[in-house]
Amino acid sequence: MTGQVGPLARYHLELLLRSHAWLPPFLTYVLLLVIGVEAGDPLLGSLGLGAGLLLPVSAWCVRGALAAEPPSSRACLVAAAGPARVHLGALLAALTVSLVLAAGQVLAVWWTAGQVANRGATAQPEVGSALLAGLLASVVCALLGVSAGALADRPVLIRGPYGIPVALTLATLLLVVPVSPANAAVRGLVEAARTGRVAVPWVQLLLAVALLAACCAGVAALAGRRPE
Amino acid sequence: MELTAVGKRYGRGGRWILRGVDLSAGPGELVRIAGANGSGKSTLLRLAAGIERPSAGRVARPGTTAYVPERFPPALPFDVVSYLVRVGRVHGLSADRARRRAGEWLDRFGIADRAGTPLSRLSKGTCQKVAVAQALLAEARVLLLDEAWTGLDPQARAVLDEAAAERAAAGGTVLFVDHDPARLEGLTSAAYLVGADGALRPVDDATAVPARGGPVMEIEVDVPDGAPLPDRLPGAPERTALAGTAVRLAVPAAHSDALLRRLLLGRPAVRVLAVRPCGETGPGTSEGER
Repeated sequence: MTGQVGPLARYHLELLLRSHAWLPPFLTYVLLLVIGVEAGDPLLGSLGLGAGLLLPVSAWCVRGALAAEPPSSRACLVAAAGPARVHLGALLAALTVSLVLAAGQVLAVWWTAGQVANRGATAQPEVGSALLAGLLASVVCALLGVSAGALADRPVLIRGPYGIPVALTLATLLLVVPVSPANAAVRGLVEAARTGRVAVPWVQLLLAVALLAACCAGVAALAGRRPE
Repeated sequence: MELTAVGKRYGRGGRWILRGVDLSAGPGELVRIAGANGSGKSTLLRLAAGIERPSAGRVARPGTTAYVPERFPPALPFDVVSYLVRVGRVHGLSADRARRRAGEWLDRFGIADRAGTPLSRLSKGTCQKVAVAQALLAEARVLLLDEAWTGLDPQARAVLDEAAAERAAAGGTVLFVDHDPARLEGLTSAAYLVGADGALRPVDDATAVPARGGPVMEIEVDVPDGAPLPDRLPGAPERTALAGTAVRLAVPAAHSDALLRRLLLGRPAVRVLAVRPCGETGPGTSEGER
């Protein structure tokens, strides 16, 4: 039965892409990056900005994925696979888009950036380790963004106008609260830009994976209990 | 498919739409759910499908479930075949098998030429055919039809009638709601009525118990491998064993078409020796073999 999640994720991914629900978050992300990152800026600092901005954008992708499916066609899928798996499929679709954005962001920033660390840094680290740290930090932010989006939509918040403010608040908190893995990963990049000593955020990645897994499990279980 | 003491209400203190509902339907059953508008028939099917959760009681499904909603949205950004294949994949079919079955059902509903059309450009009736096809191609253990006939043209209604009977004949459980009281006449195994108080009561379905006293048709069939005919046949025919493995079935004329269709499509495979109005003798009016 777990084999159904794969086809469901593909279904929702195609739905997300074909319905153009991915475009608003994507364009917003591109716009923010264009405003925030200038050609020739130091690589590490730009990666930090790109990673941080990805968090609310990922939450938006979740909203898009969950809203793309009309209730009656969802009902057909729920009859076939159960509400928890259908919900997981939508979350996985949003996660896929967010991870693609993370990779794209790293490539784009690498393409336009100048030197690796800031001008005043004590050392210039290797590009490879800087890119790895940037990619992992972006992935951490994508994972946490999907968690925030999942918590700020059905079945947790069933109706109404609170979804978007709650998602934004959660995303902001995840970025600024020091215990958050996203905050630690982004801060690590900014500090590396200043000092030139790159720390790859493996621990934050593990924490973010665990957090997302817990979120998804909880939300999917709740989707089973509150299918509508 | 078993519902035990199922109740449903929206919100605490809300009105019980369904209350104390016990319903058991095994393999091969074709069950009609009747009731006034807004009585909770659709809710009952949605509970059976797992789309809604009962406020009380328990719903047990024997296996895969396919559901046809009352209204199907054309707002999906897929074309017909790719939508059907996606849903088939979710039902656990391989991509090849999903594609083949999608093609078969589109063919049967006469919309094979629309395979590549976006759902958003379909007419309402064609869209409903797609909604029905997505459920039928799964060949699920439980098939739930919520006014699935509404919006279909007469030919497509006949195809869906056949398909529902075939599903039951193949060991599936079919629950359906339809406003036409003659729907699947002579084929239903049970009928229930959802009352205004939310209770589900079995009813003597006029369509399940065939009317006596009208003209009677006799159908003689041979079951080459000697297997017994299904216990429940459309129109509940009277059976008389003839020489060898042949059987004579006497059925009210109104149900003879449904019975023949079932005999020719269902299991066991039979050879129809003769079809004639009761009382006539001599060679039959038609012969066929499956």
